[in-house]
Amino acid sequence: MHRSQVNLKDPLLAGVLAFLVPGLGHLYQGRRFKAAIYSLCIISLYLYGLSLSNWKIVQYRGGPGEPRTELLSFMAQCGVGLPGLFAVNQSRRFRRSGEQIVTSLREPFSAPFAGTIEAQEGEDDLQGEVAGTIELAPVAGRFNDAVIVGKINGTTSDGREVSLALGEGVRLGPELRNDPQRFVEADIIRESGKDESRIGQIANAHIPRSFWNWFAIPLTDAEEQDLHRELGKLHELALVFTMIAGLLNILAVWDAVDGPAYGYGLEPDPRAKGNPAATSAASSAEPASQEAVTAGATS
Amino acid sequence: MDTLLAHAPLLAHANVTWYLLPLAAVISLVYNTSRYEDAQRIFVQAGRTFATILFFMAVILGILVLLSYNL
Repeated sequence: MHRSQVNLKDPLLAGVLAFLVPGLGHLYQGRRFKAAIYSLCIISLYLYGLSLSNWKIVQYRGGPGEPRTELLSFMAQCGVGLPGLFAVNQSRRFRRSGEQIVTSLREPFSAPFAGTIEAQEGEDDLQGEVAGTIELAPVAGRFNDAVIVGKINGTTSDGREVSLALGEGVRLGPELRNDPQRFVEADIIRESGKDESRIGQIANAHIPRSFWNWFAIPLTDAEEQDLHRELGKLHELALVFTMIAGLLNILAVWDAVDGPAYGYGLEPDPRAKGNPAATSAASSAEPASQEAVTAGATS
Repeated sequence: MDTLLAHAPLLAHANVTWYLLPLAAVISLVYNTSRYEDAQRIFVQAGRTFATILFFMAVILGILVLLSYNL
């Protein structure tokens, strides 16, 4: 349809590109104006919907026993292909890894840290917010099991520099979860030679989770209910925005594969009142208008 | 101000109805972009579609206001 006026290049490739990223297929075809409109409108709508839901509304919970309504809404969101496919992959990773609390590591790592410390060291009372860096490392524990130990270097809310050792049994939140923050639980210890004694603990502490490990990870039922409670009507709005963005991208894919549905757009409008020429031109034959358009396009 | 908002709920902060305006604009623009190739025609038709959507939304709003009158 209208291929004589629009160079669609390889329509299949353009369709795939348009599906993956709105506007990319049209950019490949050299239709920059349409690429700009599709990418601006669809991506903005999609991202706005996502931001309304704190970036949690796109998720694939398509396991056995999951409600079909959620699958339908996800299929609509999947019209914007790349995040949809990403969500399917994240769901697969999540089902494989589970929700276990992490008590051992493969390799040491350090991360920004924020939390509350409650510790008593002699006369020195350490209480309050601490922000800094946490260093964690895997070691063999007292009973030769794999455990995590670590150290916090940071500054308290009243400006004191602290360096605290964390005893065996540091616990981290699950590796994959739809939350950019990962909790940390640990005892604070005092080391003197080979002896160590517990002097306190860290509470409400968290380290950042990487984007790859939280974005589009499926929510658990409890997390889903919390999100509903937290967002209220915005939850539905976010869902509608992302679904409509996905459905609109289907129109964009169609346009990339088959060209504009009604024509180039320079043909006379058959609905124009008081324009008998337009009406007759529209009713007589398309080739006449096609020639006019081609002439107009080439001039 | 609160009194004004109480009598004009559509002006209330974050009323979901206001979210429908950009949504209608995007739908109009993308739909007509997929129908035509010429930029001017796209914008003219998108404007018409947007006005049509707003008209029907206003009609439905009017009906709902009438139905809820004195409730």
